[in-house]
Amino acid sequence: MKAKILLIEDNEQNRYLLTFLLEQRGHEVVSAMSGSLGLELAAKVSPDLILLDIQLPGMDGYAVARALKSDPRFKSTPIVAVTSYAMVGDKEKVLAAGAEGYIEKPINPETFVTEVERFLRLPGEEAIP
Amino acid sequence: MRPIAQAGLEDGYLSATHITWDDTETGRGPTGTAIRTGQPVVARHISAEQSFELWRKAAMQRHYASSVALPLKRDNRVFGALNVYAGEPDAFGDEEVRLLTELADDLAYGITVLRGHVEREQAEERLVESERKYRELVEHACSIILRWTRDGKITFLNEFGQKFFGYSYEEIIGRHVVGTIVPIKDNTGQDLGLLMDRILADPKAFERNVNENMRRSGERVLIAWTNKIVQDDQGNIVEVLSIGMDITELKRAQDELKERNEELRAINRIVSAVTGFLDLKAVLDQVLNEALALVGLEGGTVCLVAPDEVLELAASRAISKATNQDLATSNVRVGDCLCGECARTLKPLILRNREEVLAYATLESTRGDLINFHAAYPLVTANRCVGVLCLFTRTEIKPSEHRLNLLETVTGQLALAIENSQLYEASHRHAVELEQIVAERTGELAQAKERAEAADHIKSAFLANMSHELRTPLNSIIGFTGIILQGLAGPLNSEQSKQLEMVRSSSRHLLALINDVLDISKIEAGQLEVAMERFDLGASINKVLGLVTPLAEKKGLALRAQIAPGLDEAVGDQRRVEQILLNLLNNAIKFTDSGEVALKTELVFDFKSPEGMAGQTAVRLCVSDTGIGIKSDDLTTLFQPFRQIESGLSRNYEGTGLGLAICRRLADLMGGDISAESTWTKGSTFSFTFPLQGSSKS
Repeated sequence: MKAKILLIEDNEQNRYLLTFLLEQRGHEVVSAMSGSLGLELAAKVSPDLILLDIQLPGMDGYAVARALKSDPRFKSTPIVAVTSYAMVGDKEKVLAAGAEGYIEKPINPETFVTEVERFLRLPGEEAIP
Repeated sequence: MRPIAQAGLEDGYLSATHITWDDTETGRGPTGTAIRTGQPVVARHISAEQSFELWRKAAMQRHYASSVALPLKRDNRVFGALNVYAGEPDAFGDEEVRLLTELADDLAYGITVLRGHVEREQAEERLVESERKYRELVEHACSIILRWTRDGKITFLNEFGQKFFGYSYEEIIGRHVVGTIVPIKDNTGQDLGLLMDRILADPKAFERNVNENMRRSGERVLIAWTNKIVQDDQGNIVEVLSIGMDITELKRAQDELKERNEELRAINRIVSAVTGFLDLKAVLDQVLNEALALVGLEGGTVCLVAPDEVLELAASRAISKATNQDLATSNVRVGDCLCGECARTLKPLILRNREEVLAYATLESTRGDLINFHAAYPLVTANRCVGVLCLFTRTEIKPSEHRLNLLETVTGQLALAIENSQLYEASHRHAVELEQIVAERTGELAQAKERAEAADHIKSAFLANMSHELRTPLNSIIGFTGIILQGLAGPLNSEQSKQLEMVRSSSRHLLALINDVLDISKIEAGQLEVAMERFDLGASINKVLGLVTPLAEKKGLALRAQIAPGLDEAVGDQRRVEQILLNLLNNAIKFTDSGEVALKTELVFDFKSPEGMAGQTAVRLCVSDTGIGIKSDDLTTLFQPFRQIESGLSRNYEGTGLGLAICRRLADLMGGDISAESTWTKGSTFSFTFPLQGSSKS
């Protein structure tokens, strides 16, 4: 099951790392280095899943998640936050903003892709409206 | 029957004899029969006469042989009897009886006439006596008794009345009431001549009336009159009979009583004003008004003595602009003028007339404010003058001394009230000041709190930032190291793998250090919080055991775990519980070179948490090792930050020295407890206990 994954991440090295790991497993990765570019790209490529860094310059991850979830086109697109925030409440805030999942940085390169794939919907499986 | 006269019988005989005139044994003798029948009764032979039975013996003893009893009659009414006795028997023939009957009739007539005369004389005597008694009554009665004719002329005045009004009988008889005992006009100006006319016109309406009368001296008196009309046979009013009672004193006493009552009421009003409210201005206004009403004066002031001995105007009525100005500009001080002087001497000062006022040269009089009466009363409590009550009038009215004295009696209470009120105001002022201070302090505190919060916010943001900034590069270090080690980027030789493992190990260690430093920073900032969620404790324990098993195996240590049955769910922060357990197991493995590390879990049913909640069910996780142990001196500082024991050790044993401090804080936050026992060189046991159903602390 190959998916089209939109990665929104400002750190170049991390963008490369995650892209490498996901492409290694055959997924197609489209990446954006800011929230606003991410939103533009999402509209263009209609990803199956969005990986979203939270601490982004300008528009932060929470705002991006909210913007995506308020757009009917992405209502059923799973969003997984990848963040190095580790304060109490961060996870709750991310989920409240509309993300389905939360993976803490630093990621474990051995398990990362498997964790992401758990959030990919099987073909034909639709989100409950 | 009563014997009246007798001859021929010894004295006392008849009065000792019992004779009646009824139809009984004692009444059937000749006398009784004669009276009863009205006919003469002859006893020819006393010796043989049946009716003489009772008296025969007595008659025989006195040698009487016959008798006749003759009734004494007047208008056919028998009122007595005449008895005649003879020595010879049958001495009374018809002729004798006829002659004696005539005699008896004459006698009866004489007695009747005589008796009538006597009765008349007696009646006259009684009349005279009666009149004398009534006259005495009238003359000496303690009431005025007066008769006067239709046209107002006095026809009679009793002695009491004469004395009362001051006229002799001769002087007053014939004079007109009006102008003599009735003044032409009374004190209220009522025309009493008209009143007399009205009394005569409708006497019934004036059966009782009270009006002013006049003595000869001109003195007015108040008399309550009862009037009675004397009519002739045709029903015309001939005279008026008036009985009067002097009620002047009674009225005076009543008026006095009324006045005393009014005074008491006035005093009462002052006292209740004084005790009624605590607002000094209102109290003093009312007191001044009531005081003026009590003594009937025009104006006045109440001044308070300020601490600098200035008289402050607190209430006033009818004072001149100039006086108001004087008092308002603190011109009057203790010792000045009337008020100031009485504040100094603590004694009332009363100027009773214009001359006294001018002689004293009060501020008012020097300005031509013509005051006729001016009084000042010091208001003294505890020998201290708190104020002055001043009253005056520009009119001619003279207040009664009695009322002035009364007013003086309440000045003490007034002073007390002023003092109370001042105390109240002072305490109120202090309360307000305190409130202001509290408000200021609260404001300062709020600002300080805001600043602290802002600082906290900055610190918090800094921590979050640090967390991100430090971990972001580690993310790629650990990530890429992992990728290369996995061979995803191409094959590696064994030396490269070994060195990359070192990079990975060091970067993981660096991550652990960063995490510890962040945790302790959060603890210091009071920002460390724990979640309270239901989680599978058994699974968490197994997960941690899975993490440390390779480490124990690597050091050749036995890792034993004894899990209490029935241990599954708990409420708390799963990640932090795992963190603590991992920390304890890691430490145990780290500080043990040979032997074993054991984990034992048990339920505690009466756990008393450090915050004082008793009787909870808790779970205790005990980690024991056979390692180097801890010296007892070090046990006390074991859980303090930056205290890795024996600095020498730290080179051999990696770590920040923050782990246990973080564990203790986390245990606290979960309402739990962490402790250590150890024997130096033999090993240690660390116990972590936390309530199964969570804590309210977080």
